[in-house]
Amino acid sequence: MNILTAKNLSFSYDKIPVVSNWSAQVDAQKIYHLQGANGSGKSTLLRLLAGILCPESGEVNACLSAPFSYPIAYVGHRLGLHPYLSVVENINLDIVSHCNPVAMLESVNLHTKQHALVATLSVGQKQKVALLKMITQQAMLWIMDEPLANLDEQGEAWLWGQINRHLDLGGAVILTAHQRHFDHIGVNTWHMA
Amino acid sequence: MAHGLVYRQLLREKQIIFRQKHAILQPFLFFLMFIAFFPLILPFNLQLLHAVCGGVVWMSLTIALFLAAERFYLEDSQCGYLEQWLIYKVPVYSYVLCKWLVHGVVQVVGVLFCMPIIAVMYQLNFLETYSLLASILCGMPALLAMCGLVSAFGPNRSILMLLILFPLIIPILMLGSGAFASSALSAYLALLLALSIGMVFILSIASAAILKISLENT
Repeated sequence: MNILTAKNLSFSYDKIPVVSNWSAQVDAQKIYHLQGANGSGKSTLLRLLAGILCPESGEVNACLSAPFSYPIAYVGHRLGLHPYLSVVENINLDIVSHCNPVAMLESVNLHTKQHALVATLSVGQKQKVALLKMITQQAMLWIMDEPLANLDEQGEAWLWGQINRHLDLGGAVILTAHQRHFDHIGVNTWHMA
Repeated sequence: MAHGLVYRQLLREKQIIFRQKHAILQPFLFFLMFIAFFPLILPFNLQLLHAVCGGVVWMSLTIALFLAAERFYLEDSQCGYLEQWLIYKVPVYSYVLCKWLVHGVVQVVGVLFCMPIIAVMYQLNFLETYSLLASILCGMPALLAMCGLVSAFGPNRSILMLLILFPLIIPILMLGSGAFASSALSAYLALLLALSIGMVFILSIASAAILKISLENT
């Protein structure tokens, strides 16, 4: 089943083309790994697919089906967590409602930090909260920019567990990661020139 | 969903603003100091105090609101929260309006707190105090909307935009200070209210568009 279609996407910063005529299709129950050197436009492409940036030409179409509530969820370099709000407030007072986030905090050992301000958390803990926020949004397609960058081994294992569960439900994942040993079976690779 | 979103957004803004006490105290203290010190540097003349009262209060309120609005959207923009609004295709103006509403309520409470001090310092009677308060309540949304628009340009461009947009603030200041102790108070208040409704409506959409454009350039 087709979840997202991108046709002839182009985007440039100050007339310097970053993404040129890029097309792709995202199918359900698949992981897409976006590869490329620093500055090759991976983050820009993810932001185009997520709908944060408007392409200069081309279009992105995302679809939605049960049991999901939203077509796309995105975690980028900026995690979307306000430093003056606590972990629980950042999740409960979000734009969209979340599915049982407090129970999930235990799975990442953050239940003791649920009332702590995000400003007091470590970078890895913030990353986990942002990922957890994305997971509990029940979106069909997860788009993640360097989700493994600040996670410890346990965190990585937790994320892969969540990804596998998401794929079983019929979702899909697009991510960038500089880790070379990408040992997951069935990962589709996209290369940015 | 919209009802839940507005409720969550208002609660979120309230939590943030009360955690950043300097954001409330700084403009409030500025307003208080301005209105309290001004009569002290003037010769004691009741007529002169009455003549300048409306202008002084409105001018200090304008600057205090600009001080409060300086970092309106900065943290939400830097932390990536605003990006999420674009992903879920929720109108950004609803975020802007919720922010203005919470900040407006906080500022109004501050002004109410200062009214007895203003009344004593400028020797105002009940009717004069009432006309001043009513004009502030009717005109403050327009001022806040203007401050919000300037703030949407970001801290690097806000001073320049303030200079460019300053002529738009002058009618609010003229009507606001003119309403004080005027015999045609209701006409002034009606004009201020109309200006506030129009500016909040138009400038919330304009601010949302500017925020969206600035997100695309970061």
